[in-house]
This record gives sequence, C-alpha cells and structure tokens, in this order.
Amino acid sequence: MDLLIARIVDGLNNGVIYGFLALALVCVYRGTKHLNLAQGEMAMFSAFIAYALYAVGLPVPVAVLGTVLVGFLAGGLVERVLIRPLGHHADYSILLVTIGLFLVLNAGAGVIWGGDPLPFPALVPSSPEDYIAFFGTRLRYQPLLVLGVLIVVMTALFVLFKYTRLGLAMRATASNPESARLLGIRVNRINSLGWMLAAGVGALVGALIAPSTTLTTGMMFNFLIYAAAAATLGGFDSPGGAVLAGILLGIAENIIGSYVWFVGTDLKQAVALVILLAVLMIRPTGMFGTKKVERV
Amino acid sequence: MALPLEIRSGSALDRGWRLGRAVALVVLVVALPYAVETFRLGQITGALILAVAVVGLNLLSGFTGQISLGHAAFFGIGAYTTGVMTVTFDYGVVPSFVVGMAMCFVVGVIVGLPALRLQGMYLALVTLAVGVLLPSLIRRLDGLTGGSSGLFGMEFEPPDIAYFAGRAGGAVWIYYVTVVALVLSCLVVWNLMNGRIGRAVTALRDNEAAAIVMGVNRAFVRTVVFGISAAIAGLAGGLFAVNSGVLTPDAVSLLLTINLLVAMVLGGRASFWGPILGAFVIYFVPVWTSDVTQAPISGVIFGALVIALVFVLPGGIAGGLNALLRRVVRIVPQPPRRDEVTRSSSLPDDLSDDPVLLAPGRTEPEPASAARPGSP
Amino acid sequence: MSLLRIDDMSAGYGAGDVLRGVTLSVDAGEIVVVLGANGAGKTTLMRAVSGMIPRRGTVELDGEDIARSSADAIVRRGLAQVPQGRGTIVDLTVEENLRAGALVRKGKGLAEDLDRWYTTYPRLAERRRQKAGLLSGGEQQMLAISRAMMSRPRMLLCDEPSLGLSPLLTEELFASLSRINGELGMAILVVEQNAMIALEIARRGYLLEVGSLGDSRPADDFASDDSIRAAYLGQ
Repeated sequence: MDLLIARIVDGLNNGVIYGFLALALVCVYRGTKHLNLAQGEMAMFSAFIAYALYAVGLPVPVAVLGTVLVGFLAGGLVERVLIRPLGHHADYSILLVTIGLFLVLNAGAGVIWGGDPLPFPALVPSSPEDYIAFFGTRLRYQPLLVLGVLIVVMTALFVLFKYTRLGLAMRATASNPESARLLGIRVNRINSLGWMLAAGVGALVGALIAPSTTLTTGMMFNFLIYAAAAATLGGFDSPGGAVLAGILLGIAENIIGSYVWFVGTDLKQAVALVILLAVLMIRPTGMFGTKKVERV
Repeated sequence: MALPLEIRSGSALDRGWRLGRAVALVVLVVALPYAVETFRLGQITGALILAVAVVGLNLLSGFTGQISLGHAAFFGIGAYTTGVMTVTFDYGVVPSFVVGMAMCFVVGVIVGLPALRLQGMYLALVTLAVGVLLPSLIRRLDGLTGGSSGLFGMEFEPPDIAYFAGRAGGAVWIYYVTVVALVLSCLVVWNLMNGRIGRAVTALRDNEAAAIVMGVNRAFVRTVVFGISAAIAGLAGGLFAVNSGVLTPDAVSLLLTINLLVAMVLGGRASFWGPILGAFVIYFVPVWTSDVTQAPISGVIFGALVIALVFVLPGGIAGGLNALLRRVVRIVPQPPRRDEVTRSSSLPDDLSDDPVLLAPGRTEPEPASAARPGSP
Repeated sequence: MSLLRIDDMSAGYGAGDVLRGVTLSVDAGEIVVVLGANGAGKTTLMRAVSGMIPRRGTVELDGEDIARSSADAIVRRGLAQVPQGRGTIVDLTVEENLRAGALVRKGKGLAEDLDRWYTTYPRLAERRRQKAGLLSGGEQQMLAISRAMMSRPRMLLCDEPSLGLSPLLTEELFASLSRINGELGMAILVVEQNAMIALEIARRGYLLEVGSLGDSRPADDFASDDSIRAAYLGQ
C-alpha cells in the first residue's frame, strides 16, 4: 500500500508538468484550432530568460514573474507576426511555422546559453533532507509547489472564463468564431490573447521546473509530446480536462511502468501514448471534450 | 522578344518542349555518377531516399489532407525489418524490402483505422503517438534490434559487373537502386492520383460529407491510401538501412518526421515534383548551413529559413518554380486538351472532369490551379 | 436621410461577383424586405452588408462610411445581424448567449434588457440555464434575434428567419419582429424566401434576382403584382 502511494506521488511529478503544459496547448487550440508544436520550446526559452534575469542579480521570484511577463508579450507578438498573417485556414503553413519556431528557439537557446546544463535555484528548499513524510513516502516541496501554482492558475483561468466579460468573449469565440464576430467581438484579439496566455503559462511552468529538470535546451521536448497526449485525452477544448488528464497520465505511466515487467523504464513514457490510442479509439473527442455535431 | 513565350498545347513545339525536359532529366540522372565525387553521390542518394519517404508522406498528407506526425515510424519499420532480416537472419535485401513494405502496409492500415473516426489534430496526435512509440519499442527490444547501441552491417551487394566494382561502384549501384525506387514510388502515386482513387481522395479532402453522399467508400479509400503511403515510407527506410549500414533509434525519431513534413510542405504539397525538390532542400540546407557556420547557429538559420519559405513561397518550391516558368513559357491549351504545367502538379483541374464531385465549396484553392488557361 | 444606404455595391467569393451593383436603402423605423429565390444571393447580400465578405461600393450607416470596416466593428457601430442558420453559440447557455450579445455595449441596463427579451420570448426564460445547442430550431431563432437586440443596435439585419421553421412558428416570429419594429422603432432589413409572410410586416420590398436588385416598391404593390404572386407567393 505504502509502495503504491509512493508510486502515485512519483507519478505526480511528471503529471503536474504534463497538465501544466497541456493547459498552455489548450489556450491556443480553443481559439484557433491549432496545435503549437513550439509551445514546449517557448517554455524552455522562457526558463532561460528567467535564468538570465536571475544571473543579472534579480531575486528568483522576480525573475520568474519577469519571464512570465516576457512570455506573455512574446506570445502575442508571435501570433501577430507569424500566425495571423497566414490566415486561419492555412493549417499546414501554421504547423510548419511552429516547427520553424521550434528549431529557431531550440538552436537559439544553444547559441546564447551554450549546450551545458545551467543551475537554476529552486523557490523552495530542495536538498535531500527537505521533504514531508507521507504514508512512508516523501513529498518533496518542489513538485508540491508546481502543483500548488497549477491549482492557482487553473482557478484564475476558471474565474476568468466563467465570470468575466472577457472570458465570455473568449468562450463565445472558442465555440463559434463566426457568430462571435457578428456579436462585435474582436476575434483576432481574442486569439492573440489565447497565444499570450499560453506563452505566459508556458513560461511559468518552464521557470518552475527548471530547478528539478536542470536547465537545458532539451528539457521540454518530451514533456510537449505527453502534454499533447494529455490535451487530447482531456478534449482539446477543456482546460480542466487537460490538466486532470495530464496528472492522471503521469500517475498511470508510473504505476504501469512499475508493475508491468515488459514496460519497465524504457517503455514507461510510451504508456501515455498507448492510453492515448486506446481512449481515442473509444471516444474520438477525448474523455472530457464536447462532441461536435456536424450539420450537413 | 516578348515573354512569356506562348506555346500551343499539343503542337510540335509543345511536344518538343516536353521531350526536351524528359531527355534532360534522363541525361542528368545518368550523368550524375560521372560528374560528382563518390562522397557527393552518397549525399545525393541520401536526399533521394528522403525523397522516396516524402513521396509516400505526400500521398497521405498532401493529397488526402490527413496530417501525419508519425511517418518516421513507417520509415523505421522498413529500415529495421531490412536490417534485422539481412543481418540477423541472412535473407536477401530485395525480399527484406518486400517484407518491410508489407509490414508497413499492414501497420499503416491499422493506424489508418482510427483515421476513419478522427479529424485533424486528433489524427495528427494518434500518428504522433505511433511515431514516438517506435523508437522506445526499438530500445526495449534490444535483443532483436540492437537497442540504443544500434544495428550494423547492412549492405546491398552490387551485381558482379565491372561497372559497379569497388567502393565507388557500390555507391553508384545504391544510387541507381534508389532512383528506380523513387521512379516506381512516383509512378504508383501518379497512377493512384489520376485514377478513380485520386478523385475520391480529393473529394474526401475537400468535402467529406458530400463525397460520401456521392458514393465514395471512405473506409476503403482512407485505409488503403494510408497503407500505401506507409509502404512507400517503409521502402525508403529499407534503402536507408542498406545505404548507411547503421541503424539507431534516433535515426527514426520525431526529428525525421519533422524533416519529412517540412520537405513536403516546402516542396509543394500535393504536387508531383514538390516532394523531390523539398527532400533535396531538407537534406542539403543543413549540410550547407553547417558548412558556413557552427552547429547551433546553423539550426537557427534552418528554422528561420523554414519560416521564411512559408511566407515567401506559400505554394512550396514547386509552386514557385511553376509560376516562374509560366513567366517564360506559357502553354496555351487547345480546348479539349489540358495545360501540361497544370496537369503535372494539380488535382483540382483534373477534377473538372467530374463536376459532381467538385461541386461543394472548396475553401483553399491549390496554388497550381491559379494557372488558368488563357488569363493574360 | 436613410439609416442604411447601399449604393452600387458588388461582392462575391473570390472567383467572381455574386452581387452586381446593388443599390438599397432603409429609413429609420421601417421594415424592408428583400425577396429572392434560392441562390439569388440573399445571404451574400447580408454577409456583404455586415462585412463578413469583401465588398466594393458605398455602404453607409447613418451617414458613416462602413464599407471598409470589419464585421465586428460594424456591429459595434450599431448594425446587428441575425445570421442565416441562427449562429447559435452551442457551448454557451441561453443566458450566456444573450450576455455575449451585450458584450459590445458598455453601461448599465443589462438586467433590464435580459428581462425584456425573456418577456418577449418566455420560452427562452424557461431554458435560460440550458446549453443553447439543446434548443429547438424555433427557440434558437428567438435566441438569435434577442441576442442581436441585446447589443441595442440602431438597426437589425435578419437573414431568412423562417428557414426550417413550421408555418405557425414562422408566423409567430414575424409577429415578434413586427412588435420589435413597432415598440422600439427598430429599423429591420430582412431577406426572406417566404415572400407572403415577409410582405405582411414590411413597408417596402426589393426583388433580388441572380445578383441584381430591382427598384424598391411598396409591399402592397408586390402582393398585388401577378407575376410576383406567381413566382414568389405560390399562387
């Protein structure tokens, strides 16, 4: 029993990251129906910016908030300069641009900060002795912090979507962009805002996890794939669903990896993808997604 | 002399122009091994192998409009089947190619099954999952595949004639094998797309509901196209195995899928020459950028080039070249015949035979169809 | 002066013009109907006026040039549209749909407006917490009209409100449009295939035939014209 709890807690480490990044993917997808393949690299680059801010002498929390702000603005800039001019039906072009952005950011971070891992200080105590004992397992502060921030961000987004005029405009745009335009909503700005929120959330997760993953140009690559799986499972239009699916995926892969011999550590992360395939075969719009009825 | 030159389709001049291009192409292909060093020829073979895979991807993602983020997996299945069969079990190379392609076809049909229910991003993610799974699976099955340390020793012995003797001769042999594979793949795609399946595929891409009402068998068309596309990618994988002689899981990672996709879109999606042009760009641009700069900067340049090309050449390189060519030589159709430039690169015009399938609203006209006959 | 003035407007979808040189005006407080058969370009006319597709020529709302304004800007200037197919935002509740309609205007009176439209269409009040996608066709049409009116527009465009509705519901709906016109003095431009019922509430009418608009005529005049009766009134 204790061992199972330990496995669940371990799985939470990655699960929270999947959920966080999935949230960013959903922010972009809801408005424009595009998967931003560069989302992870944008988060990685943001983590490096946080490092740069810290390196010039800013306190760590300020550096983290600073990179969130930079990410927020950069997200809007990317949407305005690289995505919007292509028009919203140019799926392939946009996919390609996000791939290009992926390559530029990945290599660019290498050019600026070099290929070696950089140390980034944690916001909470994280030496081997810092933990909370919990049913015989060790809850470490770092993942708890990420989880806590994730819950705060989720709540903030929920309030934004549900109880504000802006949120109503965003939901209307996500559901029916054409109708939203005919209600006088500036759909372009709403989509821009989606990119800004996504990049801001991504920057936050990048800076938060940098202490535990170490700061390298490859830190986000795998996470993005599993975040995409989580977003898919959650139903791409449901922020809460994406986060929950991310956390469940992280726990599931850890438990299956531990108890099924064939899987082991090599195939541990592949578990997420097999779950993805299985769920999509049964429910093509994910676990929590809304079914779109297509009228002909 | 005023440009563009106008040539009437079907006239002697037009036939000469077409014949001239065909002859020039054959001369280029045959002369290449004599004109370049062995080292350079090996690179060209590498680009041609990539081109075979892109031709396969283009069949699915270009013509059918189903985004695949997992074609590296089919490439990998073909490569590892050839590798394991020739090295571990001592089979011949050609039978290994055939088995590899058959396996890819089967896996492709299986992956294509969810495609019947899934749309757009969801399908892309299923294929992404398959693409990411394969390298993990290769690492896990290390007894068979060599795992992370790789699989070695694949080669394709040239027939025992003087022309293919020696190290240089071996390179020439692989080069010709690849050229033949590429031509065959192109012919398969070309025939498929200009026949009934091609019309069904285009109709499904542009307006699925209408196509089904018109009697297009979606399940059959989608899965078979998926299977054939996968088999062509598998053939490319097999060629890659015998050409490089080394296989690692990293060679068939997501990066390869990205390269294939970029090559397809850059070259010109749903066009005939596009995949080949795109594959050469994707193969040689990194070579060139790392010649002129250091490693990370070359990555930045490559990425920036990808973005820039999307904006500068929205129809891909094939579309851009066609537009350029039309400024120099314009082929004016005789009423019953079709414009040759358009014909070689565009399906929508082909559909004009079939007004029923064309009818429902197209949203995104293909760049090549801008070549409207008779426009000034 | 006309509230909406369109002069020599052409529009289409890329390949060629669907509408050619359309001239039309709507005065403050009047209902004007554009009649036309399927494919005559009715919806294109609506989309062109509301800025959803590119158009050339003059389009003025209350003397302000809106020919180059974007669709959302035109709504913010007070020209609301009830789109064909109702444009229901299916994932929002009925009440959220109505609130979304009021997003463009600042200021108070939201509760009063909600009240007004719930009173006008009591069936919406019953279903205010339901997802709008679950409403029947007639209810969605009521929602579309109320939602457009929530922006407190200067003028309302209606694209074929009778589409897919039973004769009884159609009757009810046009009666409510007539009330909106009478009580609020709202100018309404409605395109409609069901000429009979539309002419009942309209003051003037136009005939749209394959992209060309005829001259305006009094609604009574249409109703008594034999050729029109034969073609559009089914008599």
